[in-house]
Amino acid sequence: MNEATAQATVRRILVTLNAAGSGQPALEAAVRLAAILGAELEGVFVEDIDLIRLAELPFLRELRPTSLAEESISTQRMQRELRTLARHAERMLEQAAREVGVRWTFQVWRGRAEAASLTKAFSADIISLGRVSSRVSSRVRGTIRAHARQPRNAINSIAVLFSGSEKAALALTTACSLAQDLGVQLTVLLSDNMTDNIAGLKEKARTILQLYDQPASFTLLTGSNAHSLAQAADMMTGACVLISEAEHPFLVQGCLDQCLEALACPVLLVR
Amino acid sequence: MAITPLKSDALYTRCLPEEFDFRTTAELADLTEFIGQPRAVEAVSFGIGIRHKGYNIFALGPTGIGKRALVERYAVKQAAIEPLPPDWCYVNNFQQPHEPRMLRMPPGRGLELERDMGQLVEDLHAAIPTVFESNEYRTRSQAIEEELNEKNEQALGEIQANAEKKHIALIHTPTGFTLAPMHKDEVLSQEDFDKLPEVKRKNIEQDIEELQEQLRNMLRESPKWEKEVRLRMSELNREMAASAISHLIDTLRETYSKLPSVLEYFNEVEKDIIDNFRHFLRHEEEKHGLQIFGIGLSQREEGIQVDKRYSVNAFITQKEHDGAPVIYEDYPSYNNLIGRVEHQAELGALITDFTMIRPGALHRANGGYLIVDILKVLMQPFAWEGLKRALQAGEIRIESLAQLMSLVSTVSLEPEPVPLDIKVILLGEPHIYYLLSLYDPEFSELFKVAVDFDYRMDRNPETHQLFARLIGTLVRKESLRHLDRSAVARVIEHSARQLGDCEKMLTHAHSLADMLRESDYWANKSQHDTITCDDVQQAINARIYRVDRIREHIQEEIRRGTLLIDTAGQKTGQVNGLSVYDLGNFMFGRPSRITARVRIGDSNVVDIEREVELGGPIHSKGVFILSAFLGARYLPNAPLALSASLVFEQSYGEVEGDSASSAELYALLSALAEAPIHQSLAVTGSVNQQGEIQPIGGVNEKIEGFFDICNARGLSGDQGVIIPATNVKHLMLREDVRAAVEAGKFAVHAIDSVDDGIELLTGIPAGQRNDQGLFPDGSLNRRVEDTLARYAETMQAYGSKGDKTPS
Repeated sequence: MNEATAQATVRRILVTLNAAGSGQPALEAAVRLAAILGAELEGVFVEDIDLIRLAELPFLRELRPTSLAEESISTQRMQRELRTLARHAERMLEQAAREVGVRWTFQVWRGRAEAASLTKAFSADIISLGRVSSRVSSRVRGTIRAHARQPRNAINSIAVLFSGSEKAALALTTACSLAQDLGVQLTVLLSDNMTDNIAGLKEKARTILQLYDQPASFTLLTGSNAHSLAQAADMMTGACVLISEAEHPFLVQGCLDQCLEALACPVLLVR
Repeated sequence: MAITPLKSDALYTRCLPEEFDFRTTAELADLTEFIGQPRAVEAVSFGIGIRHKGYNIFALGPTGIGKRALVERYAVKQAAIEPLPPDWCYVNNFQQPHEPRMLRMPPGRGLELERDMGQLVEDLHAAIPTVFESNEYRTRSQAIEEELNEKNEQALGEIQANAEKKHIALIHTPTGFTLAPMHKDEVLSQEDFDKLPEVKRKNIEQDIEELQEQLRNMLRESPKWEKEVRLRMSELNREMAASAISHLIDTLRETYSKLPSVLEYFNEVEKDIIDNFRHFLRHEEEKHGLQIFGIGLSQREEGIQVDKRYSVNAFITQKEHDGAPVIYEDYPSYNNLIGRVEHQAELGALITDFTMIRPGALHRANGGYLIVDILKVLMQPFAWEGLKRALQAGEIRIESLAQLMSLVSTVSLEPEPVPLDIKVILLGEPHIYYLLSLYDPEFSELFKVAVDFDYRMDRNPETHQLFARLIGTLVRKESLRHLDRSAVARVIEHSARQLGDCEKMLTHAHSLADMLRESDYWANKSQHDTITCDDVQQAINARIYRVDRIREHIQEEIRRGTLLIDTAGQKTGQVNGLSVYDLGNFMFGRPSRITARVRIGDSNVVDIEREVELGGPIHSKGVFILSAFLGARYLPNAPLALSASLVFEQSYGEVEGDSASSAELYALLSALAEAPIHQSLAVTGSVNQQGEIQPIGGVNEKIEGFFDICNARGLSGDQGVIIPATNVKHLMLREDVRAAVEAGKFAVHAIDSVDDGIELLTGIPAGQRNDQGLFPDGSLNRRVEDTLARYAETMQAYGSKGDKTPS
């Protein structure tokens, strides 16, 4: 597997943008990757069906953390605000795509804002996911006011989940390309739950890394869930991007949303 | 009484080389004292010694008399035993940056403080980042942030736990948060909600209201927690910054422990660095500054570059002096006296800070003496006002002229004024001193000591000896050839001639030095090892030759008959007067024909020069005096029925002075008496109402002027000049004049009265009134009185006929 293969394989990259504005790192990662691989960028603004529904309930009130103001919610206002955000997201996508010279499309998708639904709904080769759900996780770090602010940190490290599969090799190749383009550190995450032969797994990853002449560090995940991923991410300073094969056991069975909440960083799923 | 001409020895007072016991001036010791200036020496000694406000000095005297040399010598002598004044440093005023603070430091320590503060800033650039990159700081700051996170997580966790129990979710909306009821992991739709029993609906609404209240409280508390974290972070930062700076600044505190003002400054520096420690954490590229079009932009905080913020402007340091300073300011402009604030252009704007404050002469001389030329001060706009204001206020306040005149209103620096303890010595011409005394009321209050320089001294063997030593001193100073004693004697004689007084010498150091330099030149031309009398004479002759073109032209025109001057024969109502032309650096005399015409009239002597406004006031005064003399002396009991006119023939410029008044009177008397005057004589001298002859100026030049004409035409033996007897002491005539007198070919007559003069000029006795009040028959005075009597009778006759004057 090399970059030429990756280029041949990856034609479309989907990036999710949502009302919470948490899709900025996901967009950045997707745009850079689209530029490297010459892929088309597919922006999807997610209208969380939860927001549409709650707006219909007349007794709900919205509390604003910055101004500490309160206001009742209406369907009209919610839809207007979502439209505004969608337009804003489209403009962001357009600007980012133009800067790097990649083709792009944009659409608004309404539905259940969960990663699993999105991955099913779209058939892109790589899906760049930010935190998509509007529900506030109990694992919110920092203040709730900070949570309301849009994340702005630039990507300064990349982690890749490597299981040794063919898709995992493609994920690692993609990670190498992105790390080299951004000039950031690459960490290969291995899990002892996946195999007894960690050394063999590491050797396999090294072979790919050598092809790209890409230095990387290796981290062994001690658990088998999103929490262990989050712990590994915490070890890396600053914002990061996690790249993985879409079918990685850590990210299936509803774990993906937990991962997105726990990591607070974009996840790129390679299919 | 017959007037005898002066003997040649009365025409010149020699300085005999035999007076001196040296061969050349090389044998003489340098002159350490100032000669001929006892008054000035006494005054300057007093002025320098007295230490009270307003006792500044004004040294008045002609340019080149040696004012600066004398006052500087006394000032330097006094300054050497006075203590070194303090150093003055400007430092940043952290509260009011546009009003820089002044630090008074012991002599020599200003530069030390400047170096130490520079080192401190350099050390801080290393020490502060080290502290903030330490594990201690990282751990403590993360712990504070973690505490906030925990507090938030706990509060949010409680809300979420309560919400989950009640199947309610916290939702992030586009502009905030809300709480929504859930059913099977989905937000309950309106339709489904409406299907719920009313009690259930009420319960949900109540639950949501309760949770909203909790969320509301949390949101209200959250800013307080964040603020608390910020405060604790700020305290931590201050603590860490203080730890970085304290040991560095404590070292400085020990070094300057005896200087309270400096210690106070250190406290402010420490506080400011702790407040602004982030300046020292910037990356290298930030330190070098941003660039626009390749032009660097310096980083500024409140207008001052960060590295400059804690620097010291060692404004005045005393390393160059051994005692109090003595400063001569050659260009005393306002800024050069008072100091200035420089500006630097940065992208079209002019910026400044306390490091760009520059001292003026007043700062440099503070604690000592400042010498300036008053004319230069007065010529510079606002310099005199600035100097007076500083002396009156007792402090130097640096203000730009633009500020002073309110031409600009932008914020500029207002440095703290420096206390002023100074003695200012002004050098100037006497007339400036008198004008300032008259017209500037502040002048007398600020410059109470006048050092009045005399430009002459008595001639006697002792002063000749001192003068010889002065010559020797100047020769050594100027690296010239030494003078032999004959040359010294000639220089002394020339000095007396320059002054126009045989009993005095000119003590003008500059002109003496000029004469020595020029004599040295001619000695060199003549290949003399020492300057001889001939070399000095050559220098004098050459100097005269260089400037006497106009004199030569005038004399030539007299010889050629263009300018009418008789030097032989007799003429009635016509006399040779003598006048002096002053060309600034050269004076010469020339004869002028003065004529008088008389007739019957109404007691009116017309001065034609005055009528055509070519006569100066002093000249007119002389004519009025001679008119009064006529009226008083002749026919005292009858009206003066005289109309006379007086004129300087062929004079086309202004005539000033009264030295021709006696000549005018002689012409008038000659006309009245119809007694011709010898044209071989020329006359000078003023006359008073009593008929006494009074001294005049330029007597030597006048005599020589007439002599040159006579000499050119051939000396007849009866030619000469009549001068006031009181001018004999001023005679220092040229050698050729003296030789002619010695040979009996030319005469100088000294007279005391008009009668003496008219007798010499006409050869007719003047005559004195007898017991009957009558002048002797045939005397000149009798002839004058008879003519006037005749005029009066005629006038009376015409008056009785009703006519005012005869036709």
